[in-house]
Amino acid sequence: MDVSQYAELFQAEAEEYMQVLNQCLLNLEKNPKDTEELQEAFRVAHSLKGMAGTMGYQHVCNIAHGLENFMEDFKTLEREPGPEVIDLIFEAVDVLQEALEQPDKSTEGDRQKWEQLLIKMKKVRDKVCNNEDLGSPCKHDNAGFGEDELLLGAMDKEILRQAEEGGNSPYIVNISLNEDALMKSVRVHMIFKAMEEFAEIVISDPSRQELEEERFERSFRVVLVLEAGTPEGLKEALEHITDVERVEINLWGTGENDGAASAGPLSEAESEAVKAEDDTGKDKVSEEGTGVYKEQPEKENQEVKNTTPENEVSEKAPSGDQGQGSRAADKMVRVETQKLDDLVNLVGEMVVARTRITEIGHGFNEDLDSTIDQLKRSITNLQDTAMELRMVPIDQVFGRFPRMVRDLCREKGKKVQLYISGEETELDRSIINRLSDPLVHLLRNAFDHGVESPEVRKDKGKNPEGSIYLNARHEGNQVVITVEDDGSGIDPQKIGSMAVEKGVITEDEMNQLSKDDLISLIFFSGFSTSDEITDVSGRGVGMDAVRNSIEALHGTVEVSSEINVMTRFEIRLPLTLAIITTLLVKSNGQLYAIPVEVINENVYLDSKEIKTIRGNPVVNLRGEVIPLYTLSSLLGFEHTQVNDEECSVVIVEATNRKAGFIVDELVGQQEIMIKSLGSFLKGLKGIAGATVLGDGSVTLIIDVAGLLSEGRDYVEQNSFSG
Amino acid sequence: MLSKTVLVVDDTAFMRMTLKNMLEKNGYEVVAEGEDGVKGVELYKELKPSLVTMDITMPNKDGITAIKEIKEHDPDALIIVVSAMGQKSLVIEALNAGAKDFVVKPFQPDRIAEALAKLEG
Repeated sequence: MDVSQYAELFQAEAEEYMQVLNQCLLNLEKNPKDTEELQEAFRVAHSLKGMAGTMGYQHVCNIAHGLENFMEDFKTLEREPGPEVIDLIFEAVDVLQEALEQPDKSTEGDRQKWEQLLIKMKKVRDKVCNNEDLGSPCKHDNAGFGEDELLLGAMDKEILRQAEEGGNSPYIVNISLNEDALMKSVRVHMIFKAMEEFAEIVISDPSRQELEEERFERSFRVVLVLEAGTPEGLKEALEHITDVERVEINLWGTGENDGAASAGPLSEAESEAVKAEDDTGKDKVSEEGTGVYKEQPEKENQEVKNTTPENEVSEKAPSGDQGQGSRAADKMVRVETQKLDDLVNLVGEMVVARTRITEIGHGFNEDLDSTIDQLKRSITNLQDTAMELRMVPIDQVFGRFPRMVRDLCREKGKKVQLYISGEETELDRSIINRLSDPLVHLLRNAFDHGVESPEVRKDKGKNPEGSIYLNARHEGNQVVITVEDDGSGIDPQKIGSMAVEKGVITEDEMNQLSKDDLISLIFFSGFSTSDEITDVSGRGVGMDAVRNSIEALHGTVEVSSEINVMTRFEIRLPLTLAIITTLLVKSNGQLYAIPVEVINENVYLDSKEIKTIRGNPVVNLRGEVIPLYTLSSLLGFEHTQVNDEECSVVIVEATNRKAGFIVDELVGQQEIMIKSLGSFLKGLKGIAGATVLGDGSVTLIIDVAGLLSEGRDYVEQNSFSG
Repeated sequence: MLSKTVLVVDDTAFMRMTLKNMLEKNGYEVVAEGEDGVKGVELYKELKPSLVTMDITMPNKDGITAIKEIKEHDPDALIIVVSAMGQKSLVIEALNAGAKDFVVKPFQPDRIAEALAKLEG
């Protein structure tokens, strides 16, 4: 079987698994008693091993296997993994991550690195095993593979122990259903019902719930304690159920007294044998029939070695691991992002055509009208669906941060807890991809400049452990992301003096600016609020870079802060970049589209209401003085004076600044598809792009944030320097 | 071997015919057909067939109630539920009511033969 076609799927899924793994370890670090986290991490490593094995990525497979065994030892011994252990697991995860970058190429150096880590892991494991467990050997020092992988809880173990004391034998039952079995969950129900007549069921793999939700392929395993009848009788009863293809019943071995010491998880032999591990059970069925009720580890190991990779791939199909993969595959389809983009583009064209056809066809013929109405509804639905396809949970970005903060804590000797909420919030994929850098920057800033060192915090009477809150939520047509820390806050006076020092503002201006405005000055280049510069942030890439990236996404970022209480950054982003709702306006005879997100309101002003301050037109709108600009002159066009008694003004707000655009006419609201201006006209300040309107004409889309910063220069030129 | 007698209960004539053909091909004798649960229970009491195939959703009396009544009358009655896809919980209910096995519509012919063979064994 050629597996190379699955390489991409493997990568994508492995990436997800790695994130889960990291998350589990972080949780485990916080709460080492949480066996569920360890179990989940173990399961993920196990799945990765299976996937890598199928792909033939031997190095990845070995690492995942070593990791799995290492974790399993702690799980089985019910030993709390201490910091030393968790650090080692993290280290192994990093090695695994590295290996995943080029899974088909591993160098001698890679392997040596892994082997050295294995030796370290072995040492730590031996320490835990020998010193603390009164000589009881680690499971992997003498147990084989197979049934012992079932994840038993304390309760399950208790049942098994009692059963053995009471003279009842525990068995492990492997069941496979026919390939084309329908309503598998009902078969499972029948199988469990039949088993319950003979035995008490201890545990199943996958869990009974998963089985009843049909989240398995064909095979599953059940550990039970036989209370009535014989294993042969049970086997016969199960085989009588329709769609049951194969039943295998074995005594549940504890593995401890089976002798036949293989050298443990860290031996080469076993690492090599990993590939075939999952299939040993199945091999036995076909090769030895069903008469064997006691496993022979020695024999098993031999079989393992004999299993060729070809067998492995074909035999793998019915195993549990594969089942997991296809479980997700049942509900999900992975699609190349380019195809999605193409689809959204096409839908965008249709949206434009919809507008056009409505204009042309209206009133022409009643039948045509109703057909167009129907078409419009379908296109609207299609548009919504296409947009949803591009939506991905923001967790894809957030998921990396807990690990980042943990590592920073270790490195910098700070104690910071990261609280994440709203990670399920969905956002356009293209936005998510470009959100990572600014968020990393904000978080690092919060960590470095925000949260104080534990000593300083103690002196201030704060909890020595700092907190950073990362939240995402939907608000109307926007996604709001906040990054908040409970650190030292931003001192507006300090920022103000710095801005004066750097020549960003004059001392006069500083005295006039409000506290919030002063704090917002950090978005100008060249600011660093911490006195010392560390390698975390303060590398010269300032908050202006953050603001620029957010604004490039048609978003806004605002900051608020209380000294010694908190600093909060609030990012607002549109749900999607491809299609936006705009207000069409006419200025100097030309049509422009202004994104409605930045529009506060539209007002008609009597020319008498327009006042001037230092020669610049302003309006006093409900007590707030707002500067006015004629849109076309802001854009650099010759401005033909409009002497109307009344003029239309669009009040916009971006980057914390308000302004009024005087326009000739408000044309109407319209959804448009953003097209870039192409490389030739790229970077044109004040213009976000262009769009084709329903009638085929091209209109420019106004980049209000960009234009307002231009406007500032414009004002400055006219009032201060001019 | 004596041919086994079967009662087919289903509200659609098409399904009854399909089932009848399949069963007869496998050496069974379809002795009667009922188009709802009421008829099904009546015919069972009258004919005592060795096997019943029972649809679930039927007018007048649904298959699950019919199964319960037949089982009450004759605890040894051998009933196979015939169900459409997506009726999982109903099938489970029918099994709990005493049905011995189930087949899913649309049929795979050898699947029915297999189910019957298992039942007999």
